[in-house]
Amino acid sequence: MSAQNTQGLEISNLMKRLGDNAVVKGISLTARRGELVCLLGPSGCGKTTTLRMIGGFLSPDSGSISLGGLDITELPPERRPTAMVFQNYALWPHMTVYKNVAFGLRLRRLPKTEINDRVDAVLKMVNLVHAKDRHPGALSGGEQQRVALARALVLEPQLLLLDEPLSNLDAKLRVEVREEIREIQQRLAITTVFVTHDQDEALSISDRIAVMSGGRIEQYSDPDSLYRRPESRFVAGFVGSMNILSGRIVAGGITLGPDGVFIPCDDAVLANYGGDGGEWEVAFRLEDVDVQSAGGLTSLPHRGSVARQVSHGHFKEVLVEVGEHTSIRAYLGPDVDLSGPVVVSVRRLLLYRDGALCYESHPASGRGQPTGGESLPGGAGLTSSSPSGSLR
Amino acid sequence: MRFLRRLGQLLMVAPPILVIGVFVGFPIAISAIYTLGHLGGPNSAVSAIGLHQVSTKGLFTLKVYKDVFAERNFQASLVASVWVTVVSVAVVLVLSWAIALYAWRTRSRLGRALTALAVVPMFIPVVIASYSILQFFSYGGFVKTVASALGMPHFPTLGYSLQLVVIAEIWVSVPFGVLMISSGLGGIPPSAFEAARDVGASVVRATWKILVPMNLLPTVIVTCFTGISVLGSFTVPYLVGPTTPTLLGPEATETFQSFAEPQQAEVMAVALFGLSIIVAVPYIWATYRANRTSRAQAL
Ligand SMILES: Nc1ncnc2c1ncn2[C@@H]1O[C@H](COP(=O)(O)OP(=O)(O)OP(=O)(O)O)[C@@H](O)[C@H]1O
Ligand SMILES: [Mg+2]
Repeated sequence: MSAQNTQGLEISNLMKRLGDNAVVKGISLTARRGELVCLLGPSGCGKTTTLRMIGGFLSPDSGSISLGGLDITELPPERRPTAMVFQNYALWPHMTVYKNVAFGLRLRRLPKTEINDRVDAVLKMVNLVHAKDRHPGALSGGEQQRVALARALVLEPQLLLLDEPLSNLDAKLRVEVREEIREIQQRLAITTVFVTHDQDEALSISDRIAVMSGGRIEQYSDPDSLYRRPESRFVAGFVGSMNILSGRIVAGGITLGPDGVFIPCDDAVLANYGGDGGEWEVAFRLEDVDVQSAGGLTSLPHRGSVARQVSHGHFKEVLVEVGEHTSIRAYLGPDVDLSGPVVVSVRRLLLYRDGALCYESHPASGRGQPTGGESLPGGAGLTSSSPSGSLR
Repeated sequence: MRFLRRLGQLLMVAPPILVIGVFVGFPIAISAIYTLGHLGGPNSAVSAIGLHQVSTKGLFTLKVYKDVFAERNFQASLVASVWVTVVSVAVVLVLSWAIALYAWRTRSRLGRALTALAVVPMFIPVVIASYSILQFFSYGGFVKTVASALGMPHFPTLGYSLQLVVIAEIWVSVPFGVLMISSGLGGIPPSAFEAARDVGASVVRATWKILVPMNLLPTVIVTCFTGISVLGSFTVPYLVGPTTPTLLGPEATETFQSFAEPQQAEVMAVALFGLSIIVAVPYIWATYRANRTSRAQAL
């Protein structure tokens, strides 16, 4: 790659107002060289706006963007060492695939043979040699997507920008192409910012993920800690499936919901830490819930019944009603028998107050921690359906 | 069965074709043989009033054509027609593109207002517009008055000049140009332009290499239709232009009415028709190409 130094992308305190909305409200983010960073967030949170500022199509109201140690905030798009893949691909219908890819090289007045070689090489990389002389109108969605990628890659940019590049593809192709993109990105060690609102996509290909909400970054971390340790109530609700209920800490577990249903949790420190009698937002992953047939233990207070179950093939998702107004979702193995009353316990949970993470419990070892420390592997015996870093 | 269906389809399109054939095709054919020296038959009425006619006993004669094309006045008018057409079309194209592009790029209120304003001439009858343009630029008109007030008494007046014809033709044609070009641009996603900037094209280059080709058909349509309408225009050159040289429309009319030379006038009409066909060629080519590529894309 053309960059000589090891510095990647550095964004500091970027702000942008569009019309009457403050769309981006102070975003700071760094990406090391060769890193793939996802901007993940709900629709309208300012992902595209941020990406367009990085690409130079919008100028920020304040803040700065630097790449490879160089401030590029004021440069027009044609002078930035960035290349963008647009959501609608933005191929030029009057040019063949070859010409689409070669356009940027021609502007640089490279010799014909070099242009030829480089275009051929990149078309080979994205598997499109056969479509070289076709017009974009005669390509499938996936092929068009790859032309757009080739057009960006052929310039050997220092920074690759992708705006929901897979949203027009069907589910199967999406998984295929995202793996291809990741593979190429790693092979070329090209710093990449990838915008998506699909958490599955973000968790499976990123080195780091910036979860955005309302024009701000809520959390910026690697997929595993994002999934296991969401630092805010918003991220906990946005990334993956999570039970989030209000509750109190009591000896040996928690009481949840308006019914005050007692759910045991094996964490010795929990009671010490959270036992101030106050209310918490208690969050726990579906795979961290244990559901067992109650058997003879009918007198236990946390007895519940399975209200609904959805089979996902290799596992099932169940909704357990533990109280009149309280229900808990859980992922279970496919063979668990759930007729009759069940008892529920939680292996690992997170406590939030005022939207921020305050406590993270660790299962089995009984060793919890007020926010911080290493996560232990959870969800024993259950395959998580939900996107998790371990799928990579 | 099949034959009957075919016949039915043919009968359905027959009426319009018949109307065109009888009311347009037939008169054209008759005029054509009239210019080639056949004065009798359906042409006997017009040849009864015509002066300086040429007739032939053979298949045809080109003498009228030779005479007309040898005439100084006609030559001057032919040149004037081509000149006015080329200049008007060029200016209309530049203006329409500039306005449409400004509105498309900025998406501002000013851009939209300009586009709307550019369409206004379409709602003003050409006769009225021509008179006002003439008044505005002629001796004693607004321009001259302001110039004198500013101490320039010898400021040129454009009344009854070919330049004024060009100005008026532009006024008449710009609305169509802006409408076509801006609606064509409206169909181009901004990202197509941004993608070109992204790979290193300047604004000018991205416009020239991406927007113009992507908006080629509307541009060709504006070129051809404006060209044909200017070439064949009558009211504008008749009202604001010089007596001679003038455009072929008024020239032919005058030859017919004032000089009572219908045969010569029709030769001029044929010349006009020939020029118009030349102007129409790019349009036919572009629509053919657009059809072909859209069919290729549908596959
Ligand atoms: N030109 C504009 N004027 C005013 N508001 C705008 C403008 N463009 C975008 N916005 C607003 O800015 C917000 C962020 O837009 P942006 O396109 O960055 O969202 P996004 O995160 O990319 O969403 P999505 O996932 O739907 O693409 C949206 O609420 C949008 O309504
Ligand atoms: Mg977006």
